Amino acid sequence: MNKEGTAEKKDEREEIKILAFLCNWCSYAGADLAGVSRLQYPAKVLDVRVMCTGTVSPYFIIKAFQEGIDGVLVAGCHIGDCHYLKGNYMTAKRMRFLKEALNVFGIEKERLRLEWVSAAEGEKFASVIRDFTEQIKALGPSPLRKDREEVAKV
Amino acid sequence: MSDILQKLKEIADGKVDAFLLVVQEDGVSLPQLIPIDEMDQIDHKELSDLRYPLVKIVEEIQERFPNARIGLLVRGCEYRALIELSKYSQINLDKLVLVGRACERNTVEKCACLYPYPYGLENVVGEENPGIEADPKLVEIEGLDVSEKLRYWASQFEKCIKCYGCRNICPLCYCKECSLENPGLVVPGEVPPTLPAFHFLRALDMAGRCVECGLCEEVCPAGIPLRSLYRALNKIMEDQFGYKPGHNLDERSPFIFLGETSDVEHLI
Repeated sequence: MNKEGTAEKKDEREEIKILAFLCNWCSYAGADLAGVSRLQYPAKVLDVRVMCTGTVSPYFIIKAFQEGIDGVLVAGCHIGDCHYLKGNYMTAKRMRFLKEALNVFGIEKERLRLEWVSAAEGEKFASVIRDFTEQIKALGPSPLRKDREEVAKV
Repeated sequence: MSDILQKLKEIADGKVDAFLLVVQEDGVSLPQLIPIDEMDQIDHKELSDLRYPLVKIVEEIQERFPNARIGLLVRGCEYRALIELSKYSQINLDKLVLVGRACERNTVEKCACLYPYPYGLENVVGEENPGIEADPKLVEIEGLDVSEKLRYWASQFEKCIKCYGCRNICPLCYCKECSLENPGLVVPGEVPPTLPAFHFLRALDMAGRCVECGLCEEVCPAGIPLRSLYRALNKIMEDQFGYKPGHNLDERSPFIFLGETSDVEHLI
């Protein structure tokens, strides 16, 4: 591979976009702690603060992929710690199902990730983002990205 | 055909206010509501073999006349739809007198039906035919790898003319406000709809609900294999939560209740 080829590839890879749904009570505070603690993690993450991960509808995730997001992270309180007692039970069921459903649709299931991050786990948040970014980079940009016309060309 | 009607009449005698049947008149199949005082008419009716979304009409009748008692002939798929709808409080099963109808072999094959018999119903006319073992289209799709699957669905959904026929005929689609009409999710006026919205949104809603009647696929003018898509998702539901829509009156879809810690422990 020549020099230009490598540069192009790098550009494409740097464009990776990740959307993170963070629950207000645990994971958003965890992300905040990661920031306050000056922990390093990749900046290509768009945070969406939701009151509970139980409010994250599968619609949102499909819509995110439609809008050209490469990976979606859903992070909430640990099971048993939910501010609304059982909100994350629904998340656990939904995400488990949705991962397999994405596989049926033809989107790699690794593009969706569910993590439990508490308000005290700033380090875990940073490492989850680092790890997830690496995972998405390895997968490459989403096949549904508008700037990638491959799907349309069937 | 008339012996089926005779049986229905016998069983429903005195228990219903009207019969809802799909009858054939001058070669045209139409649904008809026959009140009990015009019951003699039934003897002259010719029952139609057409699969018709009668369940939707029952929903509407029960909404307007909650006390009406209706006699119905149901196939396996229709019975499952009624069971599933009663879990969502859209149908009152107590007000219905049901007589089952086993599907004939050619219907089973035409529909590629897995469960062509109203299991669990007391009165069933006709002999039980075994369902097919596996949906051939689904087997074909499952053999593809992830990127091929996306290409496959893209090529199928490209044909969509967005007529909403699949939603309109679906017995389980009872919502007054539909996510497919939400401009934030599905861009209005865009044909064919952008992947992955529309079909995947609908598919996600059908998971744990779809009774695999196949009317959507039958009605689709573009010939999109919708049922195979919904079947694939139902399979996931069964694998992960052990839930089969329409098969058991006492079980509910895991997506309509939160449950206990033991329900989610194995998912973490």
